Amino acid sequence: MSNIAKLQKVGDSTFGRIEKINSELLTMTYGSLVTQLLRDFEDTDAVNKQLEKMGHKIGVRLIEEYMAKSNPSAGSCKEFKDTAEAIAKVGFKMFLGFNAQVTSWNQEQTQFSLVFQENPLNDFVELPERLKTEGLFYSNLLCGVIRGALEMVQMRVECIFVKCPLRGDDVSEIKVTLIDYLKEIVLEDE
Amino acid sequence: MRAQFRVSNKLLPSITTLDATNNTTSSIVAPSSPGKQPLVDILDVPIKSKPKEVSMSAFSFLFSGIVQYYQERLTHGADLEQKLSDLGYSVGFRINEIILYREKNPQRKNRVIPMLQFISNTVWTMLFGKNASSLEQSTDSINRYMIYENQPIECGFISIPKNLSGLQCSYFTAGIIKGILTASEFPADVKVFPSQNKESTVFIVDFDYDVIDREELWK
Repeated sequence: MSNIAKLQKVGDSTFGRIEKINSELLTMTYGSLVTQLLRDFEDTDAVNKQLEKMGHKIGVRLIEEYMAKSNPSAGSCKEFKDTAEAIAKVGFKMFLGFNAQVTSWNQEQTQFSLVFQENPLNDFVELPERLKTEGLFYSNLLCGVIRGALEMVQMRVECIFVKCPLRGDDVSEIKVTLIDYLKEIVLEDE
Repeated sequence: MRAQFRVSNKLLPSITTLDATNNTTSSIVAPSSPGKQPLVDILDVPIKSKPKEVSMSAFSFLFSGIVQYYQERLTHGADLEQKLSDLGYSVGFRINEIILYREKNPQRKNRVIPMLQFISNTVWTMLFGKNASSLEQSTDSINRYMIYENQPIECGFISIPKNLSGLQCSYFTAGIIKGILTASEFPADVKVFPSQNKESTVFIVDFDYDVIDREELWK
């Protein structure tokens, strides 16, 4: 599909233009954060929720940068499909430096999966057995970021981590489900 | 979690592993479904010679998320600085290993000045893409050194509100410095102050007196 190729070019060119840093600093900082969260909250579910919440706050601001930095001539997203491809090819590329693939669309076209092999947040990480069985989603921040960013463009979605290489899978997979479109509320002056 | 001893000879960029439990099956998960593969031991994964790059805004967003998280939970500003320093400490410990692995002629630093030069040049370049602005020794006390930095990376997008005017978010970088020094057997305390002319930030490194005594032995 030529739209995907176009978005890929947008993603690459945006990534070429922005200021970059060593991915290892990001990796280590994120690792320290997750370690600290595990110490603060004893419960793994609470850590997952906290990571998602933090990601949500980040996503709400990240969308502004996305809109500003990526070339707006790529066109606005007319359908949910375009949104999915834009996240995978432009969003992931311009912030984390890699492309993701969009797969597993459901029949109503409201649910898709983002699949990616490499994830700089996961570098050098090994989860102890206890956290694997308790279900820690190490990169759950990304789910929150996607949810927060899409909320700012009037889409309510739910993002769940399905597969993670730190738990033995070969790829990372995030399942994104569109719940509804938010109506813009215009407050009337009283 | 099985314990592992890792012997790293810093003169050679190779790491040998001795498994304390001699249990080779604990890291292998029997594939139970088509998508799963046997877990590779983290120490067998090759380290790429050239690190990947991510956008600076990704790090800035993450750092802002971290600061917001701590601000909600802590009441005193000084605690925030301590928490950021602790976070940077664990980052520094790990960054030390990978920087030494990637160095072309890795040599263990046993004197203070080469160690600080290593930090202000090699470590700074790896983390921030440039050398630190300057490195100075204090004339007041023998264990105090200063690293000046004009633009600390993490504070690029942070504006301090008036009621927290003394806050220094550069404590994260200070923590990184402290982590690297401690991992290299130079225990020190690292504080952050705005410099005299308010333009740059200064990292005050106070070495433990054991380190200074050791320096004396070399002379």
